[in-house]
Formats: sequence, structure tokens, C-alpha cells
Amino acid sequence: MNNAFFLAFQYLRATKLRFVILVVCTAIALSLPINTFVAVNLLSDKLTERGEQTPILIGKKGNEFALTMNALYFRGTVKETVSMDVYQDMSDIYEGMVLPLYIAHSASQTPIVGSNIDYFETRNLQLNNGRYYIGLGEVVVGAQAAAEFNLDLGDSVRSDLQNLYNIAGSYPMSLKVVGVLEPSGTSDDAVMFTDLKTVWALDGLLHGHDNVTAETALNGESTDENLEATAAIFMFSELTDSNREEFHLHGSESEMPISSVALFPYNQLEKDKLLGRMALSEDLQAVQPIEVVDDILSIVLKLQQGLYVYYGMLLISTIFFYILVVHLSLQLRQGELILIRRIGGSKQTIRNLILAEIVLVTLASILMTIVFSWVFMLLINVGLSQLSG
Amino acid sequence: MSDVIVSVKNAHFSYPTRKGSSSFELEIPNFTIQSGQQWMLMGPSGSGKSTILNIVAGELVTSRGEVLVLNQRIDKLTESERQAFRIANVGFVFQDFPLVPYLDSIQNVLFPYRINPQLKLTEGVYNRALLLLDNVGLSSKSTRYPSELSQGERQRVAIARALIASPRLILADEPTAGLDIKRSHEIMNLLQEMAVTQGVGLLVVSHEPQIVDRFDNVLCLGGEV
Repeated sequence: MNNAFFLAFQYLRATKLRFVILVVCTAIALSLPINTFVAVNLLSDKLTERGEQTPILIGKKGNEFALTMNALYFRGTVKETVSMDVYQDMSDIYEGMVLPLYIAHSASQTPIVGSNIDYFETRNLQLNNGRYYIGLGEVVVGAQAAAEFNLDLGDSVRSDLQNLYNIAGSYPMSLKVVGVLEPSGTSDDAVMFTDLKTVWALDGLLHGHDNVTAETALNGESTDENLEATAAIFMFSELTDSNREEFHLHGSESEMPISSVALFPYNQLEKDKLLGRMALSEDLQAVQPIEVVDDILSIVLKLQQGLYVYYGMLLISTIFFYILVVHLSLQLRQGELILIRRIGGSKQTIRNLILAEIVLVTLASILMTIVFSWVFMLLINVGLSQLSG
Repeated sequence: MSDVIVSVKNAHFSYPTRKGSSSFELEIPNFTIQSGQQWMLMGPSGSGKSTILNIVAGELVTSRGEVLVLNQRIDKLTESERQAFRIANVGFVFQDFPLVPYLDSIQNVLFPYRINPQLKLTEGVYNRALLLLDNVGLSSKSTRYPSELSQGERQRVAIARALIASPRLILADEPTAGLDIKRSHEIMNLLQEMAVTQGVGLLVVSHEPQIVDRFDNVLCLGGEV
């Protein structure tokens, strides 16, 4: 067979274009089902892992999927928020970790996650540089977001305008980067973290402005005790050391909005008690993210099965294509085959030649499939790290 | 007394044909090729020249009579035995001097060793291929591909290939067909010179009278010798 492989190799070398087309077509047909299998499994693992790490989410009754996507993967916003007193109640009742989450704003299209400092410990996020936020207007940036926008300590990022046409809405604010996180391989890498008060400031609920004095107050509406400012009063668009003290909240903190509350019960009993309690609530729901993830994955798996049927057909058509190519090439090589027979080559010699050619094309296709799959793995890992945890 | 390379006696060949049609019948004249002799087999198209060549090569088998090649009753051998015999003892030169397009000159010369398991490719064989290319004046073009060679150079490579397995007999089927007189004589010069140099018998089939004077032994189909 060595001679057959030698001749087959020489033939393939002389017909490079045909060889490359064959190899690429076969590699595509082989790599599609493999890559789909790998992608679905990676997605499944990542989604499941993140879901398992977050036992319970509490939010307004409604779309469980939207609540999970918002709290775990920072995608989209929740339709209705809950108030901080839900978080405070949970903190009072349960011994496990309770985290408030407010994800409604972004900076350069990067989600801003409002929570408290316990979030980092709960998610096992380590600082690569700097420190955690301790004051208003400070953000800690995930590794991927920092790399993407070339952010480092001391840099400023401006929050995105929520609604260009809402002149009564809040303005974008400049936020200061005080820390950069180590890569975690989760969706935490692609976001910025800050405290809840800063997010409320982005909402315009907590704000700062020039002092309102009797001279600058609205004529006719102000008294000595109650000064009403004119619309021309200067609102601070950046939190600085000099104006930080001027920021204030109108109303009670317990009434401020958050997207959801993440709960990490100590044990199954505490978890079951919580679920039982929430089942009685009229306006709140307790979602187990792993169940939502399982629902999503069941859809993905059905889609995957459909794709496998399609890929099977593609593979069969590739095999037919390959048979056709070999058949046509044998017709073109009739002169060579006659020569082989006339100078003593047997039918087995010709069969060996064809077999050696098929083996070489198949080996090259497998190598190409490995390369395709490797590149795909790199791409899918990047994609999944943005989506899931 | 010189060895007998080919001896054909009272041989008759008939092509198997489809039902109802008349079969091709050929009475083969008796002839004997001694070692070192060069024979020409001539006759008009369709007279059975190539059939006789194929019978001597063992590709076809006579229906009766005796065909002795190198003291071997080739008509009594099985197909695989005839094939093995052919590989070991017979070199072929074909009308259009076909070469394998994706192999360079040296690999084309070595081609019989690549397709016949009974021929073992050794360093000695490789050196012999280089020597044969040198003998046909192509030592500097051993790594050229057929597409990079002239028609004459391709014919020389094909002749070197016919000699690579050290055959005792060279069978040439219309080697000058389609060539002008000058080119025909160049090819015949080379073939006959190589046959003498390598000490092998030569049987050339042709219907072209311009080369008939080059042979002492000519078999015309119709019985004249």
C-alpha cells in the first residue's frame, strides 16, 4: 500500500484545487454536527452552572424568563421593579445571603449592575486592580469590559442616555473606575458594577444640584420653610468629591426600585420555606433560575435534534458529491488506468490507488475538521462568556 | 546457439463475439525470435498485428497452437501467472507513449515498480532509472513533469520506462504512428540502440513501410517472412 499512498499523494498534490474543495466540503459536513454538539453542551454547562449558583430570584410577578435573563445574564430589563423593602424584608427573615439587584442602565452599551459589595464575594469575583466601590459614582469594571473599552483605574465612563426625547428625564452621568476584576469566565466579565445609590442617581431619583435659596426659588411658590426651585437650576452631571455631599434622595430608601432580589438559602429547608411563602404572595414571584434554564435548554435540544437530521442529509449529500468527484476523476484518468493494466498492474492495484486517495482525503478532512472545531471552540467560548456564566 | 525468445507455431486465435455475429479468426504465421534479434511485424490496419503482439505479451490467449516465450508456454498459464510473467519479462512501448501526468520523469520511469507488488523498488532500481534517463539523454530532466517535456522527450521517458524492469523482450505497438519520417527514425534509432545496449529482443508492430528497412526480420501478415 505504500506505493499506492505515494501515487495517491502525488495525484492529490497535482490536483490541489480539487483536493482542497473536497477536503473543505467534507470538513464542513463533519464539523457542523460536531460543533453544534460542542456548542450546545458548552451552552448547557454554562447556563446550568450559573443557574445552579443562584438558587432563587424574587421579582414582580410576570415573565420568569425576563427576570432570570436580567438577573443572571444581565440581558434586557424587567418590566416592573420591586421596592427595596422587599430586599430589606428578606434580609431580616433569612440567614442566607440576600442580594439586591438593579440592572436597568448601561455605559457604552455595557450593562451597569447595581448591587452591594457582597455580590463580589457571593460570585467569587476577585479584584485584579484597584478597590471595590465605596461611594457614589464609583464603578468596578469586569475584565472583558475593561479590555474592550481600554478602561483602567481613574478613567471615567459616561452612562448611556436612557431616552433622548424625554427632556424631563435624567442626564447621562460620568462614573469613575475604581477597580478592575479578574476574568471569571462568566457574564460578570462583560459588565460594570456599582452600588444601588449610584443606579438610583442614574434614574434621577437621587440627584445633586445648586443650592436653592430664596433668591433662586420660584417666585410666589416658596416660603421660608419650603423653597421650590425653577427649572433653570443647574443639575450635577458628574459626581465629584466637591459635590458628592450635595446628592440626596427625595423620599425613603425603602421605596427605591430594584429589579430583583437574589437569595442564597443556607439549606433546602430554608429554600422550601421561602418558596412556600412566596407562593402566597399576590404581587411577587420566586423563580428558581435552574428551572428556567432547563426550559430554555429543552428548546435548544429540540432544535439540536432537528439540526442533526439536516446535518445527516448534508453528510449524505457530501458523500454522494465525493463519489461523483471520484467517478469523474476516474473517467478523466482512463488513460492512466489503461496504462496501469497494460504494464502489469492488477484491478487490485487500481482499487488500492482509489482507496489510498480516499484515505488521504478523509485524513485531511478530519484534520481540517479539528482545525474548524478548534477555531469554533475559541469563538463559542468568547460568545458564551458574554452570554452566560 | 542463441536462446529462443519467442516461438509461435501453428497458432490460431479467434475473438469471442456476440451471438449471431461472425467471429474474428486469425491464423498466426509461424515465427521465432532469437535472443538479440529485432523483428518487425507489419501489415495493414485490421490485419491482426496488435492481436499477435498481445498474444506474445500474454494479454490474449490462442485457441490452439503453441506460443513459447522465454521457454515458457505462455498460452498454458493462468491469467495471474501470465500477468506476473509479463511484469517480469516484457517491456511495453505504446503508440502514444503515455506517461502519468502527475509524476516527474524519474517517477514515470519507476512507475512499473509503483504498481506491481512483485517488483521491489530499491536504491539499485532508482539508480538504474537514473542511468536509463541518462542513456536516453534526459539526465538533466529527471524532475520534470510530462507537461514540461517536449513530445520527443516524453517518448524517451516512455522507452526508459519499458526497460526499467530489465525485460528480456520489448514489445512496441505502432511506436512511429503519426510521426514524420525524421521523428520516426529518431525513435527507432533509440529503441533499437537501447535494445542492443540492454541485450533484449525487440518486436515492433507497425504498418509504416518507411521503417521496414531497419529490420533484418520482418513478418508480413499473409505469411511472408
